[in-house]
Amino acid sequence: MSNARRSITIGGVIVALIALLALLAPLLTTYGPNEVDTGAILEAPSARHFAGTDNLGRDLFARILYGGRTSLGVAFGIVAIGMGAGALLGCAVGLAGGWVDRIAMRLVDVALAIPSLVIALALAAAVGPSLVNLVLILGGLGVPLYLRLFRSEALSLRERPFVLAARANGAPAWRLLAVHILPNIAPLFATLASTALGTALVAASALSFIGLGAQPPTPEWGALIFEGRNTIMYEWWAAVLPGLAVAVSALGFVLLGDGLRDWLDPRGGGR
Amino acid sequence: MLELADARLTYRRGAARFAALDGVSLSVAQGECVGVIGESGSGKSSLARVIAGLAEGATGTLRLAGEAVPITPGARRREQCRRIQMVFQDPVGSLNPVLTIGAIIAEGMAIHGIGTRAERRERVAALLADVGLDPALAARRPHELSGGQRQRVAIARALAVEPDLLLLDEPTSALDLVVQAQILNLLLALQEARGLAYLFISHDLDVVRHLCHYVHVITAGQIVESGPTEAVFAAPQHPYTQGLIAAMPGATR
Repeated sequence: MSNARRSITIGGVIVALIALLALLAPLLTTYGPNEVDTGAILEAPSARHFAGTDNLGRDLFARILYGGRTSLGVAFGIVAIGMGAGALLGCAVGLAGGWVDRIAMRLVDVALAIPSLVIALALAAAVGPSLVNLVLILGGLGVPLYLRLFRSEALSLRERPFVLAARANGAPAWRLLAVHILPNIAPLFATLASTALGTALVAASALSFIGLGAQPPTPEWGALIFEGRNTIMYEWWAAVLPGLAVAVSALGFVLLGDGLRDWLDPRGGGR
Repeated sequence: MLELADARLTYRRGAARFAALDGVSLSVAQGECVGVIGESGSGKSSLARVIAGLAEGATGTLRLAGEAVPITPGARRREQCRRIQMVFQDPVGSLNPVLTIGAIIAEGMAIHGIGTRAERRERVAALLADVGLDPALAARRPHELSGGQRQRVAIARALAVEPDLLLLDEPTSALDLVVQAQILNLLLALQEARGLAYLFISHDLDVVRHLCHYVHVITAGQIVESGPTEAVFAAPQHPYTQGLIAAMPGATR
């Protein structure tokens, strides 16, 4: 098995497992994520509470599973907005060319000159911390990056003979975009999206950890790490397990992305 | 059918300017095949792009059956686009890899609003048969076809919208000799059956001699010699043409 195939298999299995655990959370645990049990606080992992309980007696296994729903959902939202809009606008701009392209690229240069994490922090603090704002901010920050990337892809596609044939035939712009450009960037999109999901997951968890994302009592991996930090002297697993969940998921996404990239472009060198 | 007058196209690279086409004029009558011979870099592919309406910054006048057609990209009416169709050199790049053969051939009809979906499907089957392919191939994708089959699909796509002129930009140079001959014979048969006008661009003198009634020799963006094919091959006047013909493998003179 080649390296690429191995990465795809391992990454794919990890991602599928984590996604299944999050999706099937209600079937895998009888506890609700916010179910308080004052008779069972700060318990160690046992047959009743697989990952123990926190200082309010909430089942940590349930919180981590349900937290996966939040964290993965947030990561998907960020990538869908950032890469979705970036790819669509980038392809449109690359196809249009001319002054549209020149203006868009100047705007992208300006946007990329600003340090994005600083902006994310400032914006999150300004508009008020919430998960929806987090998705919008981190998603929006990805737009110029992916716009530039997919624009260059569209520029090379628009000179391919099959696109030239459609252009010479008077095909309207929407058709060029929908039939000829977008379907042909789909493999690249899937590859980059996988890697981007890993990055988005880590970034969203980090911002939730410092209180700019998920608000208590919402279970979210970054927020869970923060909550576990208070009791780390008594129960290390409360912070370590959600941290592990972030690390393993990110690894899965990045492995999958790397594998897909190598598989689609076996000569290497990246794209 | 087609009249092109004083076509000019200049590429700019930084401060340097390079004239890809430097005042080219030619015409093609209905049912006629006009050849354009030139080496790579002579401007012959620029000529195809200008006529197809794909060359940004081109100037000159183009008339199709007496009607003026804008030469700048995007300025043509859709109906004018329909009447000029192009077949490209690269059989791999000229078909969208994600579409089926049927969708590729039907696209032009969809753009120009020809027929209903069912009528287009029927027409695709007929066109595939016309170019010597099994109509069942409509459900396949380009990567499942050979180079010769792909070039037949590209020809079917061009014919689908019933153009007046086919621009053939080295349509056989990427194919092996046997397939090349088959495609050329197909083009000849189609021209006879449909009275199409061909502008055939090639560096292959044998192919041009076999197919074309009239030839233009182009170098450095200018036409240096024109005439009926046999006359030009029998007694080339311009030193450039003489050189080209003398360099033909198996040249008799």
